[in-house]
Amino acid sequence: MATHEATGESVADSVGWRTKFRYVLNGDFVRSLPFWGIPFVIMGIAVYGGIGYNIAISLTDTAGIGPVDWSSLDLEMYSQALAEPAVHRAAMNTFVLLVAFTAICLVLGLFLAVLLDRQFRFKQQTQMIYLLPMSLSFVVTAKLWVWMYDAEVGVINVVLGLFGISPINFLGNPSFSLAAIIFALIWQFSGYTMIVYLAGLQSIPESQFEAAQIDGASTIRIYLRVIIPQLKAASVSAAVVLMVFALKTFTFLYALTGGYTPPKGTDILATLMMREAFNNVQWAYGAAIATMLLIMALGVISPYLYYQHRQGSL
Amino acid sequence: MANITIETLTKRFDDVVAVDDVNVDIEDGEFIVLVGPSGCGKTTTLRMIAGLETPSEGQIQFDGDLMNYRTPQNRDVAMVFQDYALYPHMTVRGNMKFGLEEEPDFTDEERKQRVEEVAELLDISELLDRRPEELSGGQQQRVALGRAIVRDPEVFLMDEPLSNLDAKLRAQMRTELQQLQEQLDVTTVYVTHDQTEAMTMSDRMVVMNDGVLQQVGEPLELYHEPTNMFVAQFIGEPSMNFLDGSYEDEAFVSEQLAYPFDDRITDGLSAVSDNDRLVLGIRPEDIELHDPDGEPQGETSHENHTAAMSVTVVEPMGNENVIHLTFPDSSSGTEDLIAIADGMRRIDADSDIHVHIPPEAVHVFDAETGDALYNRRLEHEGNVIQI
Repeated sequence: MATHEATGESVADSVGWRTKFRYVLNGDFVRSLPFWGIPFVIMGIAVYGGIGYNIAISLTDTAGIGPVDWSSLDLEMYSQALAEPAVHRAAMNTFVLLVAFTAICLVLGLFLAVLLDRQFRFKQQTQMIYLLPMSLSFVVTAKLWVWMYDAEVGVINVVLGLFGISPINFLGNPSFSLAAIIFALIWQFSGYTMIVYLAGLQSIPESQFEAAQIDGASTIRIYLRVIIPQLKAASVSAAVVLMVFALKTFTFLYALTGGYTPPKGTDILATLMMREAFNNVQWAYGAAIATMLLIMALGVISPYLYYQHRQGSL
Repeated sequence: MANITIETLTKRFDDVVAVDDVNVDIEDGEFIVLVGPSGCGKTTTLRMIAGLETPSEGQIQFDGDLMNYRTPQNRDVAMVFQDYALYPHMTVRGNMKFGLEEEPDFTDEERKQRVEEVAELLDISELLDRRPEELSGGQQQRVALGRAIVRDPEVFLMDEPLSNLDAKLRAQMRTELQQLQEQLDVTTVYVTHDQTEAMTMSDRMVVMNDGVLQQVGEPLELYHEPTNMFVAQFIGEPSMNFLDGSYEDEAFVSEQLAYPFDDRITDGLSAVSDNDRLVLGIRPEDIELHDPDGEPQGETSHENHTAAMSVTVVEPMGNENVIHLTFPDSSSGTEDLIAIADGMRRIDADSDIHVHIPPEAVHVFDAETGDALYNRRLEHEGNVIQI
């Protein structure tokens, strides 16, 4: 018996470290490493590393130019930000922009999609017209709408003037400015919602519409009761994309004025954060605002992630 | 419950004539089947009755009321679609209640009760709270039927409702649908491409081809007295055999066969002159097969309408054998006739056989127009069928 055990051990020993090493090298994990490893490292450092560093900075009192002092870590910057009326205003504006822009885009896109879904000539071309603004960059849209909204020579005020309405300084007047910016963003993105809904509508068989007609439902009732309830998945995915764009409104506002100070009444968390950090060199304070913005974005995206999870695709 | 009058109904899609001058009167409570190959215009006709298509010409009337420009909502019809068209986001109950909810003169309690009654009738009570995606094809089919029945319409329209079911279920639903229709006594227009469905279910059937109505009549009338070759070959399975030839000396003559007509037939062919092209039609089930070594009627001769042929293929079906036959000197090598023999009878492929074509069962068609010149008369066989 003993000899047998001894030989058994010697067999195990004879499989040298080279063989084991080669075995590990040939494994799926190592062989697939170059394909997912590189993006994993880049993403990890650039995105999640950045987020982590940002949170770390927000806990310090860093301001001005100089080395970061890591000695006292606390939530002072957050309490300071939460007490600041400017932050409240910016958070409110961010929220209003997010909700109003997304909701109006969805409704308008759905309306356009329903119109386009009815058969008519030049449907393809019309579809393109609505979608084209989407292909423009924020910078172009911003410059275009600065001109449209101009208090003296802007197209909108010229047209209003024809009806005897005195010029309105859309971007200068705080009670109009946020609405004006939301309107410009809707102009750019409602075409996208329309395309998403149109694809959803076209996947519903014609016979459903016909069955409801024969069941006695009017066209409006058919849409309300049969067609639109089936567009839930399309609504969710369109809403998520729109919300992400709403959070990126920073680019639009930056291009509008060429700086971190947007028109009065349209200050959002992103512009406030940039101003605090880069104009006022309040690094820690800016970082705290950035973290709050991140939490808000996570709040927006989490219902979608939950929905995906429930559908079994996450 | 309504009678439907269809007059000179025509539908054109651009240059294509889908339905061409169709006239049919459908009686109150009748089960009528529109049948024909795909693209024959039967579905378009049904959709015009439903109001989903507008006729290019002609009229559709329910009980004398012109329907042409009335929307589907105002026609009081119910339709069962080929793909059932159940609303996927609603439960079975929601699907069935949908139509009732669009009618204001019901209370909620009445609607609920009506849905449950119909569910009971169709034996789908336990499915009421499920969604269509959770149901089998047969169950979905029942729900689609239920959705139509629950509204108690003037007219039922059915667009190939059984075509997505497997063969066994289809046969079962066929009987069930028929009983249901009898019970409810609602005028029903049913579209199918399946002649078996048409034959078994209909009170009367309408055969269409290329948008043109071919013949309207009771199933047996169409089977025994088709007006043309299209109807003759479309009704019956396997199809009627056709032999091409010409009329010579009161006989049908083709390359392989000389078939003398008796007086009954020649009387019907008074308009035909010598050398006119004819088509001789005979149903597979009417062909008699005799053993060449057997009884005296196995003699091949022109007088007793018997020919020597050889068997190429035998398809055993259990209850019967489908026998493919060819004339021995047939140059083409293709089969010339299909016959049906008793399932218990043993017939081998490649054997020779004597084929008797009984003169009382033949049909004669004009080769050019395809119109029937002579159809078998059932009275001659002694069993008179009132048509």
